[in-house]
This record gives sequence, C-alpha cells and structure tokens, in this order.
Amino acid sequence: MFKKNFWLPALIIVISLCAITAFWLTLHNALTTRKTAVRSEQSQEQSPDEFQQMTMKIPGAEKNGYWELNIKNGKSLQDGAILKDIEGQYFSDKKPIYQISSKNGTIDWKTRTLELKNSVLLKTVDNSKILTTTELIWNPNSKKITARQGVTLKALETLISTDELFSDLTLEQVELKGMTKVIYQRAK
Amino acid sequence: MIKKFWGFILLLGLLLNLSIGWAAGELTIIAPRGGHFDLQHKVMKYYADGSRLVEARWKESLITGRELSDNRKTKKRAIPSARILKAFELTVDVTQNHLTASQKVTLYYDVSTFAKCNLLDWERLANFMKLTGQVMIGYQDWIIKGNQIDAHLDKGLFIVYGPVEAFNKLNSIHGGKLIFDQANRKAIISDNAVVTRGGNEMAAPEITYFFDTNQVLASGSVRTKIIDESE
Repeated sequence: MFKKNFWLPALIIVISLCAITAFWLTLHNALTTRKTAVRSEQSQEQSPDEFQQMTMKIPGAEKNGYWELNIKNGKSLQDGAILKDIEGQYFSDKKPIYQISSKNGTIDWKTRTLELKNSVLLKTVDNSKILTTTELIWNPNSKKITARQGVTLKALETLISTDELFSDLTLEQVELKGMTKVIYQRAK
Repeated sequence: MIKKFWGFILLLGLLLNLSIGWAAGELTIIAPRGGHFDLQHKVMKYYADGSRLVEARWKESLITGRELSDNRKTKKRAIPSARILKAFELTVDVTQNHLTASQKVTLYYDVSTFAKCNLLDWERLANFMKLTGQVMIGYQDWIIKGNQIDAHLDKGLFIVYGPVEAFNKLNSIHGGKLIFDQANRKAIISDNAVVTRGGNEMAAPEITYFFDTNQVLASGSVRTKIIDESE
C-alpha cells in the first residue's frame, strides 16, 4: 500500500520529534531544579530570622515582672518580632498572674509593647477576670491595656461586652467606650 | 403529720422564693457611651450618649409584697415585671448594694406605674428608693407631682412629699403629703387635702381616694362645695 521510501522519512520525523521533546524536558527540569535551588538558598539565608517552638521571656512593667511566652512560629525583625500561635503567662515575683493566648502578635523590643490579634484571651490565673478580644495591646510603659473589637470581660459575676476597653495592668480600673452591655448574673 | 410538715416546708420555700424574686432577678444594663469599672471597690458607672439613655432591666423579676397576696386568684404567683430604669448616668455599688441614677430618670415600676425624677437613690437590700428633683408618678391616667418620693418597693408604697398635686382628666387632688398605695390602688392625702371634681370641691385634714371606684373618703373636719350635682 505504502511505497518503500515512505517509511524512512516518517521514521526520521518521529525520531526528531522525540529528540526535541527530550531536549525540552531536560531543559525544563534543569530550570526547575535551579529555581528550587535558588529558593532553598534564599530560605537558608532567611532561616536565622525565623523560628519555631520558642519560649520568649519579655521584661514586664514591674522590676520582677515578665512574660514567658511559648511561640509556635515566629520571625525576628530589626526592632521586634512577629509571633504566631502564642501561649504564655505573666509572672510577678515568680508567681503567675495572667495567662494569655492568641493566634497572632508582635513584640516591640524597644518599648516591650505586646500587640496581640485574633482570638485573644487574657485571664488571671484564678479565673476572677477573663478578657477576650480581637485586638489587645499590652503597654508596660504607659501601664495600660487596650482592647478593641468584640471585647468581653468577665469579672465579679458580671459579663461585660463593649467596643473598646482601656485598663490599668491589674484590670481593676477599667474604662469602657462605646455601646456597652453588662449582665449582672446574680443581681441582688 | 409528716405530709403536713413537708407541705409547710414547700409553702415556706415557695413564699421565700417569691419574696426574693425581685431581688435576685438578672440585671442587664445597656450603656450607649460605655462606663467606668472600679473592680477594686466594686463600683460601676454607666453613661448615656445624648438622647440614648442608660437602661437597666431586671429580667424575670417578680412583683413582690402585697401584690402577691392580692385577692385576685389569677396570676397570683409569678407576675413578670417590666421593671426598667432609664437615666443619663447610673452608678452601681455592688458592695453597698446601692444604685444611683441621675438626670432624666424614669423608673417603670410595672405596666401601670412609672416614676420620673432627677435623682434616684436605691437601697436595694431594704428595697427603699428616694426620688428627688421634679418628681412625678404616672399611674393609669393619673399624674402625681411633688418634691420628693420615698418608695417602699416591697410594699408598693410611694410617699410623695409636697406640696403635692395629683390629677387626671376629671379630678384633681392637692395636699401637703400623698401616700400612694399602689398595691391597694388608693391614695391617702393629708395636710390640707382638697379633692376637686368638675366644680365640686371637698377639703379635709385627710382624704382617701380609691382609684378603681373614684370613691372619696374624708376624715376630720370636712368642707364641701357642690356646684354641679351631676358630678
């Protein structure tokens, strides 16, 4: 059916196509490997800044006060650090006073100001005061706690929900701003 | 004998439960402009925002005292109260069990009665309230005005110090002092009490006015002036 001289050019074409495909595949592999290598190098360059499963001790507002925070992931910056999955305690005279947790946060090394975001929980170890919020700033210089967005405070059999909360570090003098709802659970 | 004993205990428990109902109701406060919490001294202040007043509401609170022993058999046990307090500023002292409301104060005592004033002091343990500054009580279609009100909430008694003026569309009452017995739906007016209905007038040292029947009971030296006998 086909002439004898048909098979030779066809074979040459097929072999050429295979050769071209093999060449491009090899080239692509080489490029990808190079990119990965570059990324890997970059990652090795950044690795000293990033950390995992780290415990931080941050000086607090008083002489004998400090935060002991367990960080799942984090990254050091020039003036501070970015923190993820934070859990820890505040100690005063080696006694735990507060427990804290949040998903994200930052610490400023100069001011020691701790800014926490997303699912923030701050409570006294005896559970007498429980503060939950979306955003919390702990400023040891001004000795103020600021909480914003979806703020709730449980204290004295009272449940408070408010827009903004400003407090001293003992959570005893508390200013509530904006629409505030308070439920006295056992009003007598 | 044992059955009677347990019956007595059950009744006692029920009465006790009813009497503390008002005191133990859950309190919810809405403060449009926030407030200040002094958790050390257990004192809380709440602020209004312009015309949006602070509102304190006692959920599922009960009207206690004589209203519970009212002769009407229906709704005898638990009468849900619409007890609401509105004010420009509200202070709650948890330790002293004391509540102070100031400026544009309105207390909704129940569905038929409210009181207004500029300053309200509430000793919650004694269930005693003092209202001063442009005081006023609204009861059904009646308005009662005076200088000061001492309210004994558990008895449903509001003592209005005068000069006192009480009026509705048809009647007016004047006197030096008025005891508004909300639980028994009557008022006792003393210190030169005068009741006026249309052109008719009755004056006596003490007059009792029954709100349900519009009946007037005068005691002492009574003076009357009748112009229109149809009244």
